[in-house]
Amino acid sequence: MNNKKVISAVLLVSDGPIEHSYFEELLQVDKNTLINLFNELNSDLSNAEIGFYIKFDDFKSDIVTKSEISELLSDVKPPPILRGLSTPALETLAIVAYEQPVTKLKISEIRGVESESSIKTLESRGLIEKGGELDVPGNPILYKTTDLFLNKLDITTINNLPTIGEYFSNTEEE
Amino acid sequence: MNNIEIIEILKSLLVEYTSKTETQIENNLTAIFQSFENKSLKEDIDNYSEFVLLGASLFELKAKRLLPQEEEVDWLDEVELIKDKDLAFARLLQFKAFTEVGIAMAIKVKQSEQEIPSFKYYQTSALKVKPDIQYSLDINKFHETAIEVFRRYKTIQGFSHIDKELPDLQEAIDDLLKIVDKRLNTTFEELVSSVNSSQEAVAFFLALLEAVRWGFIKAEQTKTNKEIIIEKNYE
Repeated sequence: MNNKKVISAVLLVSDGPIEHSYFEELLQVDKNTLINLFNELNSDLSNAEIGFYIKFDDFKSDIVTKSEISELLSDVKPPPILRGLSTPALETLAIVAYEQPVTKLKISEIRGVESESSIKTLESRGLIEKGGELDVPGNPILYKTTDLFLNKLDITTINNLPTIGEYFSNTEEE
Repeated sequence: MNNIEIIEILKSLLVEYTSKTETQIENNLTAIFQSFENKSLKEDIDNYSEFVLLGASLFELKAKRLLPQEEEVDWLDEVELIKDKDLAFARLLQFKAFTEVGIAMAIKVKQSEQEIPSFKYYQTSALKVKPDIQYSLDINKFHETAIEVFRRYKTIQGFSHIDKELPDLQEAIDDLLKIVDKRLNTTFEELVSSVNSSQEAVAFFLALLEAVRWGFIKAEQTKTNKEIIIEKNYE
């Protein structure tokens, strides 16, 4: 009972997802117990018809609103991260995500057009960032995706990105 | 005609280019060139330039085919043509794949944004105190780095003296005395004005000290940071 109070309060005031190891140390519980506590809390919240729940995966947890009331939150929710992004910018994001770390030249080569403005837009939105330089003459900058990008795609690492084939698996063959 | 239809036509043109359906090819090419006038396509300058580039490549291929051909076709040229075609097709597929992946990712982001994390403004993201510096030493990596450094040091500024032989003090004293002999007096600053490195200047200074110690010359510096006046010792 006490543990549930602590978990819900910590998730309420923390400024981002909390890793399980933090709760395990704070409450002296193992991972399975922690997951059970999350499930119990979610059951309590659901029974009380509360509009948010504890979202958790294998590593972290956070309080989030329920998707079914999303449309009613349009006045208070933050603007979508991809708002106003063009198809070329999305294309560039996909290339950075799957080819990272990647240089501007490689992105432009794949797209066949200059990609400077798309890269700048994605960088200003915090979806991609500079991640070092390539050890060749001129030292071109390498770009990679950010934690915010992972967070928005609801994945933990870039290794969890679907393979490109998965995007096309349900289309033409069927 | 929307962009997807245009891509489909481009694709079929590239695949069927060598087939005998000349009329179909003509029709498709006409459709492509007409699509350049497509208003929505023109607004998207990146895609527009991509289509123009592909259209121009196809036009070039067609122009080549219209030229009179020699009866014996060099099969190597034919292979090159097929390779170009394959490359263009592969590039088109890759381009199309990333476009669709980008759109699919945008849909996924939109879905995930239907669940909004609670609004937070406390700076508690570093709940666990992390060490100021985390450094681990990998012996193999250290070894590789050492090899790299010693292989490349010659190109790094500041290492050029490593391969030089150590200056001979006796030679430096002789050089010094030769110069001092020629003039009645001189200064240390004048002596070192022609050296190429600080190491040579240090050797000159050591030679100066030795020559003074042995009584060959006299050296005097009246004030700190003033020039060192050198003259031959006639005593």
